Amino acid sequence: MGGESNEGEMGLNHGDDQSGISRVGMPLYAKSDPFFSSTDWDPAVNVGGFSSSHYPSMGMDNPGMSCFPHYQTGSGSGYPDMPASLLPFGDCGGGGGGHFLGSDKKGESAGRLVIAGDGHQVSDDVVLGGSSNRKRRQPEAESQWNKKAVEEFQEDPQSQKKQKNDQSKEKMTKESSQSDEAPKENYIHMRARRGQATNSHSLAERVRREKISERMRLLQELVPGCNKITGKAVMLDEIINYVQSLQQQVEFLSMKLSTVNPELNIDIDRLLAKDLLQPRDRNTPTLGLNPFARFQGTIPNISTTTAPQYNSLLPQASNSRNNTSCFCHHFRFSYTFFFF
Amino acid sequence: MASAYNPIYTDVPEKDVFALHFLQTLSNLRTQNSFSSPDNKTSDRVKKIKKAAYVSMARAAGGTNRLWSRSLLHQAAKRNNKNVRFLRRKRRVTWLMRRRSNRGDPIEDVAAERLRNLVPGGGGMETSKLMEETAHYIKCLSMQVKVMQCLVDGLSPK
Repeated sequence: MGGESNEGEMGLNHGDDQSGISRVGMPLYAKSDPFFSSTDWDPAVNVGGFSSSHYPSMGMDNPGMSCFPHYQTGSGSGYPDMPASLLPFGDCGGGGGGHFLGSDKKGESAGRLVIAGDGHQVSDDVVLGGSSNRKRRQPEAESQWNKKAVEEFQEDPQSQKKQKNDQSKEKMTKESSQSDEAPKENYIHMRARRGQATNSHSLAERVRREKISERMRLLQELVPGCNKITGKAVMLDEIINYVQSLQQQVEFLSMKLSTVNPELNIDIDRLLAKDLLQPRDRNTPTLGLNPFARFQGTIPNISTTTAPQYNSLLPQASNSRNNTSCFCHHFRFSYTFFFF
Repeated sequence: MASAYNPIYTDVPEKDVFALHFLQTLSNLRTQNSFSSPDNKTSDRVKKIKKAAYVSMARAAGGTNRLWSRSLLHQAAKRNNKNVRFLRRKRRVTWLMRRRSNRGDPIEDVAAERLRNLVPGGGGMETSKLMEETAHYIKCLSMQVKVMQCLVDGLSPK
């Protein structure tokens, strides 16, 4: 494409977007301040505490995250080492903190991150031993961290069951029993060590799954014909097919556009009179059954003003012209969109 | 659709906005020399129109406020050898490491990979963010398709 050919297109870019700095990667802990700044413990304490091999399995279970042992310490210094994966959830943590664990009564493993924003005692976590039933009050932000920090972990079903009892505070608890969550069997069961990778880890897992399933529901409403589908895999396949078909349609229509009007001498004034933009009552040929109920019905509300070259427009003029931009037209397509 | 604690914002402008942008881009295309020259191959024109469609869609749908549109515009600008840098408004960092460390459900991972290849800019996103973007992308795509369909219908001789 010639340089000037897209000048017009891209020229708007400069107008629209300021040339700022587009940083592709950020330092890992650039966002850490809201959370880290509140910590006020002595890192040394934690480091010492966690370097002990109370949770050796944790390190082993986490081959992907080499820095995992670091945030066992939960120290302020530990946070910068943490994978940045924790940080994005800070947003929802702040906003949605209410539904996370306010307090975790059943003491889980001590291998938790503690954000001592509330003056939480570090010593609780430092003392390890994995003994459960120790009261530990977790600030909400901490649960955020814990979730994200230990993403690697696969939960074990046992701790999950405990989860369901514990986290009644969570809003998502109710939703967690929905069927479109991945069945637990998909996960590799961790060694069921009591008090070990904990509530917090499974919490992390569960939060993430909840988010994903919520968005799946959103997508399910978007993609036509997916109301009956349950299950992530099929749903995702449907979504992918739908996106592909839409993209193919764009390509196909652009091909058609290029042939229909080779000179592209579209008079914008006429077009902006909205005549052209009104749909016509015409079915695009389809090769499949249309399961999409919402594409039915037309709005034959086209006025009869036509330019001579656009005499193809606007056959009907039955209803009054609808000036609102609520256009729907008789548009049928199938997922397998064959070009003819 | 917005839940109380995490509203997923996927509003899309009306069809007019898309139509306007697309027509503007097309008219820009028209003023180029290369477009109306007779020795232009059809495939080139098609590609240009397609690119125009995507770019106008990206711009109409929210410019640089959405990840996919931002990456689309960036790609398009790069193709023109223009170093356009977008100012990131809401600073959401792409934690690539996070994505790599997104273990877990093999079912969803495979499909998520495919989705990432489809949706522009999906490479650096986490799965939940990816799905948000996909939802918005689907809405915009369908809007764009409607616009183009109407245009084609309007322009085709009868």
